[in-house]
Amino acid sequence: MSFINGVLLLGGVLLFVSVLASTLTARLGLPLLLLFLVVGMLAGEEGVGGIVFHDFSTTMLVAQLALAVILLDGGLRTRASTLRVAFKPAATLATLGVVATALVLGVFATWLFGVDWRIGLLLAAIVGSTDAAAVFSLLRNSGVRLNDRVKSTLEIESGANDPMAILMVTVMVQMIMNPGERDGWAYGVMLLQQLAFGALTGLLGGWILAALLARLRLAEGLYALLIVSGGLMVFAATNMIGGSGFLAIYLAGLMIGNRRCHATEHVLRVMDGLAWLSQAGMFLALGLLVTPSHVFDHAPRALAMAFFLMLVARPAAVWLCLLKQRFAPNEVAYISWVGLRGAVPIVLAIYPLMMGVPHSLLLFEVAFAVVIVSLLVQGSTVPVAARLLKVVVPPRNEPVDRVEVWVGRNETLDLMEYRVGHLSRAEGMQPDSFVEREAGPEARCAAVLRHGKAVPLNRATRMREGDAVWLIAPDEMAERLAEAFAPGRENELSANAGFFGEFTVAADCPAGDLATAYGLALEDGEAALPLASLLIRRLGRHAVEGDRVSIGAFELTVRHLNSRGEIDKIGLKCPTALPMLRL
Amino acid sequence: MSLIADLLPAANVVVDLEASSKKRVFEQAGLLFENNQGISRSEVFDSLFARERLGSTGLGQGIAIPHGRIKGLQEAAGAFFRLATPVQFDAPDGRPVDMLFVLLVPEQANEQHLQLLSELAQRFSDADFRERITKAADAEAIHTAFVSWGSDASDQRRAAV
Repeated sequence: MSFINGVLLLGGVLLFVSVLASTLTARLGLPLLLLFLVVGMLAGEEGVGGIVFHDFSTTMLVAQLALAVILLDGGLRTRASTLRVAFKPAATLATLGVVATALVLGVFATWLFGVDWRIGLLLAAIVGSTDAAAVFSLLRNSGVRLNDRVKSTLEIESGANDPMAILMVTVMVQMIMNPGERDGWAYGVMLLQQLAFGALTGLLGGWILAALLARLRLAEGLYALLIVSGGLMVFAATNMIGGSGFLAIYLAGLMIGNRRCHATEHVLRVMDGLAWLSQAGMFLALGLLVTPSHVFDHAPRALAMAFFLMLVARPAAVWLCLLKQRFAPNEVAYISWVGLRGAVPIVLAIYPLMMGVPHSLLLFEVAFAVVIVSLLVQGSTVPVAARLLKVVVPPRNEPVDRVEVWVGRNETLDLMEYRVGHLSRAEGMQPDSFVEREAGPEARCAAVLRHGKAVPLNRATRMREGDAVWLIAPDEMAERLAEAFAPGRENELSANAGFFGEFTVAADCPAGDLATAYGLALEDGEAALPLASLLIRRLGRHAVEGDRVSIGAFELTVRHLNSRGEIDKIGLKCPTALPMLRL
Repeated sequence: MSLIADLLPAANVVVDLEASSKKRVFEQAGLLFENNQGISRSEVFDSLFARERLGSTGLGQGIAIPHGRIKGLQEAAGAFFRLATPVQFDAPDGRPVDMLFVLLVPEQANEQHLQLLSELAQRFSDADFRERITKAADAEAIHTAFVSWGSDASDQRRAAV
C-alpha cells in the first residue's frame, strides 16, 4: 500500500507544482512544455527529487496515450474551413517535408557523429516531425494572431506529420536490425496502407462518434469521456490493423468538432483540461526518464544538430514543399522557423532503445537535446518572429466569454460576456437602448455586473467602464458587438486603420470603377472583374485576412472574409506622405 | 509646408450646416464649389457619389472625407463642413458623421490625390485636432486650426529629420 500511496503522492505533487508554476511561464514567455520537462528533470535522479526512473515502456504508454488525446483535442478545434487554404501545403509538408528534412539532416548527422549512414538517417527521422502539442499550445498562447494561411498550415502539418516520421523510424530500425529483409516496394506499400487505413478509420469513427454525440442524452461530464474513449478505440484499432492511429484520431476529432451539436461545448471544455493534463503528464514522464548529465555530454554536437535542423534542413524542406504553393517569402520563413519539436521525437527515440539498436542511447540523448533547444529557441520566439516577419494580423474583437445554451435539439442561445472599455461606444449607455442600436431586435441584455455584483436593470441603468455585460445574441453578431465594447481609439479613426488602411471598399464593386475614381492603371481584362476576384487573381491563391496587393500607389488589404471564405471587405490604404518628404 | 492649408480657403469652411442626408450634404458641397471656385455643381455631386458607391468615405469618429476627380480642374480644392445634426454615412464604426472634408482633385493628379487623402486621414486621427475643430466657435477658428496644424506637423517633421 505504501508504494501505491508514494506513487500517488508523487504524481499529485508533480502535477500540483506544474499547475502553480504554469502561471509563471505565461509571464516569462517560456513554453509551458519546457516547464513540465524541467519539473520532471528536477524531480528526477539528478535533481532535488532524486527519483530513479528508467522505465521506458511505461513512458511509452503514457506518451502514446497523451499524444492521442492531444491530437484528438487539436482535431476538435480545427475548423474545416481552414482546410481550404492550408490542406495542400500542410499535406505536402507532412509527407515530402518530413522526408526531405530527414534526408538533409541525415547526411549531416552521419558526418557529425561519424556513424553508419543508417544510424544517421534514423536520428534525423526521429527529430523529423514537428510536434502537435508544442505547435498548438504555443501558437494559441503566443498572444499574437497569425495570418490564417500560416497558422492553419503549421497546425495541420503538426497534426498530420507524425505518421510519416513514425514510419521512417520504423523503416530505419528494420533496415538496421534486419538488413535486406524487405525491398523498397514493401516500404512504399506500408506507407500507403498506414495513411489509407488511418484516414478511413478516422473519418468513419469520427462520423459515428459525432452521430452518437448528437443523439445521446448523458450527464454533462460524460460527453467528453465518450469522445475520449471512442477516440482511443479508433486510435488503438487503427494501429492494430496497420494504419496510422495518430492520423486516425486527429481526423476523428476533426469530424466531431465540425459537426456541432448540444454536447460540443461540454466536450471542448473538458477536453481543454484533458489535453493540458496529457501534455503535463507526458513531459513530466519524459523529464523524469532522462538523465540530464548524459544529455550535456553530447552538448556541442547536439547543439550543432539542433541549429542545422533549424537553420538549414527545415528551411530547405519547407522551401521545397512550398515552392509551387505561392506563399510569400516571409510566410515561408516563418513556417520554417516554427518547426517546433516536442514530445514526438523523444517518444520515437524510445523505439530504437526498446529494439536494442546500436547507439540507441546516443540517439535518445541527442533527440532530447534537440527538442529542448527547439523549445527554448524557437518556442520562446514564436510571437517575436511573427511580428518581425509580418505574418500577424490585428486581433479580432471577441466576447470575453461565450456560453452556448442548447434549448432544443437544433436550437441554441448564445450568451456572450463583454467588458465595457474606456471611451467605448457602450460606455454611459442604457443597456437596452444600446443593444437596440447596435444589434437590433435579435439581441437582448441579460445582465450587467459591476464589481462582481448584478446591477438592477431599469431605464436609469447606465453601463460604466469595467462592467461585465452579458448579452443574448446570435453568433454572427459577436464580432460587431465586441467592437462596440472595445476601448475608444484616441488617435486612430477606426479599428486597425493603420494595418488595413483608412477606407473600406466593397469586395463586389468592379475594379474598373476604383481605377476610374483614382486614375489607376489596371492590367488587361481586370477592369470588369469585381475587386475580390482581382485580388485573388493577383495573389494566385486563396486569400486570407491581411493579404496585400498593390495597385499603383494604393495598397489593397483583405479585411474580412465571410464564413464561406470569400472576401467581403477590402481595406484601402493611401501611401503616407512622410516617406516622400524624407527623400 | 502643409498641403492642406493651400487648398482650403477660409470661405470654404462652413459650420452648423443643416443637411438631412449624405445626398443633401453633397448637394450643398456642389453649390459651395460652384459659387466659390466655379466648378459645376453637378460634376462635383456626380464625382463624389461615384466614389461613394465603391464604399463609404466615412472614417469613423464622426469624420468623413468624400473625394473625387474633376475633369478640367486646375488645382486641388477642399471644403470643410461641420453639420448641425449628424447624418448616416455607413462609416466603419457605424457612427453618424458630422464633420466632412470634401476634396476635389484634377483628373491627372493621382499621386497628389493620394497624398492629400493620406495627410487628411492622419490629421483627423489626432484626437486633439478633432477636439479643437469640434469645439471651435466659428468657421474662422476651424480654418486657423487647419492652417496651424500643418505648420506644427512640418516642424515636427523637420525635428525628426
